[in-house]
Amino acid sequence: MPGGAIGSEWLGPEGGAATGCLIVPSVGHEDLSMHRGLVQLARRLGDRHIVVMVQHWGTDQSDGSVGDDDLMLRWRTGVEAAIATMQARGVEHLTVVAPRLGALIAASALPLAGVHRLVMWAPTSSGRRFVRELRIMQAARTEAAVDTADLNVGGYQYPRAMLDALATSRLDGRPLPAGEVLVVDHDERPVDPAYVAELRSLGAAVTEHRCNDIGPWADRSIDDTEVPHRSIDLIDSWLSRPPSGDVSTAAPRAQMHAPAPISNANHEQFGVVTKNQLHAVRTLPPGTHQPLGMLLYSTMGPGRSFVELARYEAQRQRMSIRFDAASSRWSPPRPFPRPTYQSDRLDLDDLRQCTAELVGSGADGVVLVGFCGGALALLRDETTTMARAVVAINPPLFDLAMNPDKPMRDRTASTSRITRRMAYAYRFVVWRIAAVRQLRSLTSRGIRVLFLFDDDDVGYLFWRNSLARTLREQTNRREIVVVNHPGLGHNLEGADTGEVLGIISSFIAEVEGVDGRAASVH
Amino acid sequence: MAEDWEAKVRAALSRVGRLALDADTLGSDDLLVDAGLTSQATVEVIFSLEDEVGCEIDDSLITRENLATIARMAAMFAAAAVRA
Repeated sequence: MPGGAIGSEWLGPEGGAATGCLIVPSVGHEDLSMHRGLVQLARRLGDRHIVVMVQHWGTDQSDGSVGDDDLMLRWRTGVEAAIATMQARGVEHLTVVAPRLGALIAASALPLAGVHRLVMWAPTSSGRRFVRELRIMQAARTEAAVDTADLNVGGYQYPRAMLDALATSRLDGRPLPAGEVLVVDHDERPVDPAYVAELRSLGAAVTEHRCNDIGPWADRSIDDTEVPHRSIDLIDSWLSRPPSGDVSTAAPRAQMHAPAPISNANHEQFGVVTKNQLHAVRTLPPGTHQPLGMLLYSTMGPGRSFVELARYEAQRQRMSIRFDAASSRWSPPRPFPRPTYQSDRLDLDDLRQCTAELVGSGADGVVLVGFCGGALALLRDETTTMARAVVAINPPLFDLAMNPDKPMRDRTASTSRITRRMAYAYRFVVWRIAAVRQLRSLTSRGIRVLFLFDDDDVGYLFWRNSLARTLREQTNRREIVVVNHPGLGHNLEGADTGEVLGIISSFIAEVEGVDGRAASVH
Repeated sequence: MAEDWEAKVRAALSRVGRLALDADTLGSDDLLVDAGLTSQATVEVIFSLEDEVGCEIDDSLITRENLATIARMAAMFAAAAVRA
């Protein structure tokens, strides 16, 4: 689209299809929580339809920033561009599936394009209401005054420009071209009847359904979100009805978007890594590379922040691999389930293979970058054989004692107070010993470590209260660097992450022996 | 009047608060977060009360302190009703 490129993921049957489905996701912390559920929907529908999930301006792989002006217009334009691209490829009968804020974006974009069906999945009825939700959620969890500045909710930093754009967005009375609209909501957050009436007044034939698996999907933290299987079944069933109109099965069938065989303008190549076929992006700038390669390991996140870090480092001639852990984002599911924030032996194998690929591509060594439970996997002896440094963002260091062959969820939160206190004491004795031993093992092998913590992150509290004194020697020698960054947020996502990414770049440059301070990424 | 607002808050907590406890068993000054009130459920409680009362809480009143207990939440709505 004008001004920059919009990313998208394409799925579909090998023989193509005449029908298509465009998924318009929400933005912000909801997008982090809901992404996996949308991937499940895309895979289900991709058996019969051309499915495209658009990546909004300033998110995922798209150009721009969520701090840019005219954000709502850019988001609408991106949706319209995706629709136009699908139609140009032969999609005749198009459905748009849009959850939460995506419904508002889609509804405002659709009058300019021909769409047959629209699924509004737990739709946000107005952007102003959405911003008020953010303010209440932030106030419920922070001592800080809630003013008109940036908000940080669910680990996502909402910049002022984004809040302003959202606050003025609503259905604006334009007719909906989609003759059929499915509204799916849930008991925890029922859709305002006035909103449905407004849809009908705009000319839509509205069908309403209620599915109570939406709350555990859309309204939970990224650690606890669940895939809304019943809602997916419902949407799949609704879309299975024969299309109205004169769509001919003999019509030319739309074909899948073919992945570009060469790098894009950011020197990115999309593909898979490891024997588990994990979703990956290789960034290979032309010319001579910096000595250290960079491995970015996305578990529950970060997504966009890692994209920006890889692109910034590519400008400094650093090659990198960025990949989604198994069962995360677009990577295929694991052979057996486990909590999304934990890593196990399979993850360690994947990391080893990616590290070996970077070294095989010419890197002298590797800097590993990860987040939360994923960062813990980077601190293991098994994954650091070719590492020169590790950047760990909000790692729950107490879990370093966990056996990667027997990961399990800490269930002490649901047990009695006595049990919780015993577990707390256990954590400070046994888990502390394991963490100290592991960190000393890394630094004794010359591996530098950067910990980046939000100021109220539980991992930071464990570091400060249980590890800092014992590891003072390592921190004094800067083998371990600890940065406590208020407002970082748990997921390191949002527009205001440039300063933090600059800290990471400076650290990598220092490890590499280059005396230079990295500028802010933005 | 304050008691009326507390009753409304308790009713909203029972309706949409998803608490681990019965809202009627909570003391006025008990911390709602200890009773299992999540930030998302707080949103639903506030919106539910706003719809019922027909007023909108000003952003300046949305503070952690005002959302912490039944008494504080009731006082916030009482203040908002006066302003309205």
